[in-house]
Amino acid sequence: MVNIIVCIKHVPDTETRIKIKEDKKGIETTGIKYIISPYDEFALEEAIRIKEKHGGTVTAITMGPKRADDILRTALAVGADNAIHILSENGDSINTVMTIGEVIKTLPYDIILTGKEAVDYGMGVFPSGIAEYLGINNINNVTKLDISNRSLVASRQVEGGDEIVEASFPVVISAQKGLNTPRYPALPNIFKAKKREVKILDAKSISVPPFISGGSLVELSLPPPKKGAKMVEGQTPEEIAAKLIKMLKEEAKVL
Amino acid sequence: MFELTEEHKILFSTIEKFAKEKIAPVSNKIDEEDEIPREIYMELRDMGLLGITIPQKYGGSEFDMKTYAGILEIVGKYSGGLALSLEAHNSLGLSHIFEFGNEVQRERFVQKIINSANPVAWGLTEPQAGSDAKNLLTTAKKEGKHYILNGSKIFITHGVLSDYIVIIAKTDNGITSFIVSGDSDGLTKSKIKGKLGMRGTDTAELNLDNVPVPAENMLGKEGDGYRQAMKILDGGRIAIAAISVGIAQAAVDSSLKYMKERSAFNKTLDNFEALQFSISELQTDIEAGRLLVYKAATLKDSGDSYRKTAAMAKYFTSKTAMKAADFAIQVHGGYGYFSEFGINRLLRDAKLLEIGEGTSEIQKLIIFRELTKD
Ligand SMILES: Cc1cc2nc3c(=O)[nH]c(=O)nc-3n(C[C@H](O)[C@H](O)[C@H](O)COP(=O)(O)OP(=O)(O)OC[C@H]3O[C@@H](n4cnc5c(N)ncnc54)[C@H](O)[C@@H]3O)c2cc1C
Repeated sequence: MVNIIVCIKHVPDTETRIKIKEDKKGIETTGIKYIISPYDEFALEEAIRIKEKHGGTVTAITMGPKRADDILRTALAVGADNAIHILSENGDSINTVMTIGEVIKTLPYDIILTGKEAVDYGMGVFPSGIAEYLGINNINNVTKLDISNRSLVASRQVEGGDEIVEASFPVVISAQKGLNTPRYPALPNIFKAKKREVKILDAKSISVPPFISGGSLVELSLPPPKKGAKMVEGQTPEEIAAKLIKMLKEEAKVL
Repeated sequence: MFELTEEHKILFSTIEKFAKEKIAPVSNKIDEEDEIPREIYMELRDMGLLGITIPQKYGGSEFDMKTYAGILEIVGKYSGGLALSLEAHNSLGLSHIFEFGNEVQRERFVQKIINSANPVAWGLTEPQAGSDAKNLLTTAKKEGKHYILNGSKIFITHGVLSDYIVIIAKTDNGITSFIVSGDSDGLTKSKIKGKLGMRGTDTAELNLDNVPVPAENMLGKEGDGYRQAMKILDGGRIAIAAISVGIAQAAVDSSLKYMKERSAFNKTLDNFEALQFSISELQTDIEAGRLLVYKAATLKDSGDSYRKTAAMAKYFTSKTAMKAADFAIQVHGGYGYFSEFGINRLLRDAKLLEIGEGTSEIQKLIIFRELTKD
């Protein structure tokens, strides 16, 4: 029996065209479609697989505004047992770590799974932050996980290869692409999930130690528009290929 | 009037995600090879799409017609062929067995069909009997505990793939329907090649040469088959209309996207008023058509008569799909004419929507008949 907690976040669909608010401190949220952050989806799938193989319970937690309820329903539909929604309009990384950390402290846990980063702000602070806050083991960017006897062996991607790491419970694992292929929920379960209970907590009522945030947001800006593609001209394929290789070597410096 | 609930929103966005990740990458391949990958049926089954409106008790998902229509519209946007396959399976064969089967037949066949992930077939049309569907020549003669079937069926969706086929045939007392096992003695199934669109769905010709069918496989009473078939087609038309809306929407979406990217005369195409008007007109037709689909589905869900509205929905939306797909090719110019871009497929797929499950002419006959009956 493994007690698994999976932390997931509602983020703008990666296909969304982002518009920045006038004060440059946030994005326009009207008309945006939200999804579960893709790395969190791997974490959720892994949690369900561990439960299916070894038994146990999966508790999905999200911290975010009311609309984030959707991803908890999806989590319940694919097989999570419990869901906790910490209502909060915004929260910087440190505050999020500590608030979720306080909630996790009240629960039994062996493995905490989450994505390696949320694809909205891409901070990547959460996995190690939560491990540090709880004072437990942590393995990041995991692409393979084997559980045995209250410990696990994880493969993690490092530059140029894989690193195999062993850790005992409790442990925080952050998921990298490749860990698994997430399933789609059986559709009737979406309707059943709607009737299940999601425990709602107000972030403001959870007390966290005083802290000084490491930084503050100055402003957001969009990346410059992409420059047009460069056509490689030439008479023969050989000539074009030679030119392309030259450009890759001298201009793009990727070869 | 047609507000979506939270769970419908999650459901539709799940299907959209599935369609983008799993269907879109293979939709051209499905068209080219005229085959739907087996894994897709398995995934559709696991998600609950092979028994969409069937009660959960029999292994289905128990969704209402509105939800079903919404699902087909989304699948239709990505692959007409796959949407048609889902439609023929759910609306024709499976619905017929469920609606007109007795408890024993439901228990025996429905869950088994859903779990097998082999789509079921439904055979009414014959070489000489299409629109004139009463003009059947296939016969079923009672001999002891069996009916012996002889004749041929044409254009039967899933005719080759299916484990079970609902066959509508002539008996002594009129027209009657039967569940026929796909591996019956005397049954030959052959794929019909050279289909314009809706490729991927297996369309077959069936020959029945003294095929024995156990009498307990008869659906309902002898002589009730024609009425049953017409009821099944009424429901099927709502589903065909939903696919039509999906194809039309795909045509408009891809056109608009292309108009924003493609330049001529130093402007992107979306600056030309003539093209803007076409988009506005088509999108208006799409939204009007979608409301007709929802109206027909709502009537069916609430047990009201929907024959006229279903015929209207199919007639109107299939015409819209043709117009939208034609425009999409036009606005894509030469690129639209080639299959690689997936645009000409929309037109080829759309044409079936004006033919299958009653041609547009037949829809207009039905609408007039419904308007003038008292
Ligand atoms: C891809 C595909 C899949 C199909 N799948 C199935 C299936 O799974 N099961 C099944 O049973 N059938 C299936 N069909 C058959 C389909 O339902 C028939 O093709 C359709 O009903 C038309 O019949 P027909 O082809 O015999 O044309 P006909 O009935 O011969 O019609 C020819 C033309 O005459 C017109 N016409 C006929 N009568 C009238 C009238 N009274 N007034 C004005 N015009 C008229 C028609 O509208 C049409 O334009 C499928 C067909 C296709 C193409």
